[in-house]
Amino acid sequence: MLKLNNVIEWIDERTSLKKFLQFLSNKKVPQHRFSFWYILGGLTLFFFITQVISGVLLLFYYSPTPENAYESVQFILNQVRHGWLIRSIHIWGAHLMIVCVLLHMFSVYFLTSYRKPRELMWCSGVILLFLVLGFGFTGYLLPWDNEAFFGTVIGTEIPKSIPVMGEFVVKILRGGDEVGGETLKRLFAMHVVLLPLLTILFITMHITLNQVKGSSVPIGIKMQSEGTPFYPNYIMRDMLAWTIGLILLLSLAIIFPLALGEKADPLSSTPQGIKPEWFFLPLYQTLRFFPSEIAGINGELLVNIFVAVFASLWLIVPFIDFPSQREEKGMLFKVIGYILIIYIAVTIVIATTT
Amino acid sequence: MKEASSSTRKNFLIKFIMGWVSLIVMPMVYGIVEYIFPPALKEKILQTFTIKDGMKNIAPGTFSKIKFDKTPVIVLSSNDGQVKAFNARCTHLGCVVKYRETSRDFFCECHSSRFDANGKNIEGPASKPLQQFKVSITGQDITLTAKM
Repeated sequence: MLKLNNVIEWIDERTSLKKFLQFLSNKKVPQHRFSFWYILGGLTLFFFITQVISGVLLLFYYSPTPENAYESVQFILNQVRHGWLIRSIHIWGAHLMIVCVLLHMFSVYFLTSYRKPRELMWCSGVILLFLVLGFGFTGYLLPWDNEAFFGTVIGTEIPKSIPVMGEFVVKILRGGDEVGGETLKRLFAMHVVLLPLLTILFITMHITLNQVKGSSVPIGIKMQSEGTPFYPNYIMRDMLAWTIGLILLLSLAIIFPLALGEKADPLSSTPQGIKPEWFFLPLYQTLRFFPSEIAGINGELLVNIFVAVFASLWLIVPFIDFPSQREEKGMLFKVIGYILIIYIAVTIVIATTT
Repeated sequence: MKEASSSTRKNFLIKFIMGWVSLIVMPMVYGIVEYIFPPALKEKILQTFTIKDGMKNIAPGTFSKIKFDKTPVIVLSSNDGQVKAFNARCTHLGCVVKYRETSRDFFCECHSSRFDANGKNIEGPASKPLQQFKVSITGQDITLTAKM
C-alpha cells in the first residue's frame, strides 16, 4: 500500500520540500503587542486568490463585446447555476481586498515596518496598491450597464487635463476618442491578462522578500518571546484568518447580491447622482473641491499633479523618513499618516452624502 | 517537551486543513462544477424538417447538403429517384464527411474513414455507420425525421 510518508519522501527527493519547510519552521514571526497586524498581508493574498478563481469562472461565460457583454452577465445571473453568487463573490471580494490592502498598508506605515532592509517590500506593496486600484477601474466597465459606461466615460476623461500627454493617455485608455467597444476590449485585456500578470509578479517579489527578510519589529517594542515559528504556528493563525475572511465574503455575497443596471446606452443621459466606487471617492471629492482654475492653471491639472506627486512620495516613504532610518520615532510621518486617513474618511463621507 | 508541542501543532494544522477541505472546499468545488456545467438551453430540438420543393432541386443521381437543426445533412437522390438522407457527422470523432460522386461514397478528411452510399462504414477508424434520417416525400417536398 502506498504510504503518505513514501509519497512525501518521493516528492522531497525531487523538490527538497523538507528543506523548504525547515526554512519556514526556522523563520520566526515576531511576537509583540502589535502582532495582530501581521495577519492582514496574508488575508489580502487570500482575497486575491478568491478573485482569481471567481474571475476565471466568470470568464467561462462572459463575452467582452458591446453587443454581448451585458447579455452575457445577465445570462450568468439568470441562467447559470450559482452564477449570481460567483459574480457577487467577485465584486465583494474586490471590496474586501482593497479594504485589506489599505489596512495592511497603514499598519506597515504606522509601525514603520518599511525601515531598512525592507524598503523594497514597501515599494512593491505600494505598486500592488496601484495595481489593485487598476483592477477596480478596468473591471468597472465590463458589465456594460449604464452606470459602468458613464463611470468609465468620466474616469477616462480625468487625464485629459495633463498637458501634451493627456490626449494621448485618454486615447490609449479608450482605444479611440469615445468610450465604446474598443474601450471594453482593452480594459478587459488589462483586467484579465496584463494586471493579473503584473500583480502575480509583484506579489511573488513581495512575499519572497518577506520570507527572506522576515517581519519587522516596531521601533522600541519589546519582544514577548523569541518569536513564533512561521510553520506550522503562524500558518495556523493565517488559516484561521482566511476562514473568517471566507465566511465574511460569503455572507456579504449571499446577503447583499449586486444587481445589474440598465444596458449601457451611450445616447441616454448620464444616470442621476453617478459616483465612482468608494475607493475612488477621495479622488472624486478632491476634484470637486478644486475650482476650475487657480491662478490661471486648470484645477483638474492641479489635482492630477498633486495626486502624482503624492503617490510618488508615498512610494519612496522609506527613503525619506530619515528618523526611522536611525531607528528613531519621528512625528512628521505619523502626523501625515493621520491626516491622510482623516482626509480619506472625510472625503468619502462628504462624497457619499452630498 | 518543545519538540512534542511543535509536533502536536503540526498534527493540528494537518487536521485543520483536512477539516477546511471537507467542510468548506469540497462543497465549493461541487458548486463550481455545477456552475461550469453549461445550463440547459430551453431550445426546442427539431424532430422533423421539410425541404420545400426538394425534389425539384435534387435531381436523380445528385446530392445536396443542408442543415437539419444544428446537424449537417447530406441528401442523396439515386438514379431511380430514391432519396436517402444521412447525418454528415463522421461517427469516429465528429468531423463532417463529404460525398464523392465519382466513387459514390462518403469520405472523412480527418482520419480517412469511408462509408458507402448506404452510410455503412467500410474503411478507416469509424466503427459505426452514418446516422440515417427517415425520408418521406409529399409532392415535391422532402420531409426528414430523426429516428429516435
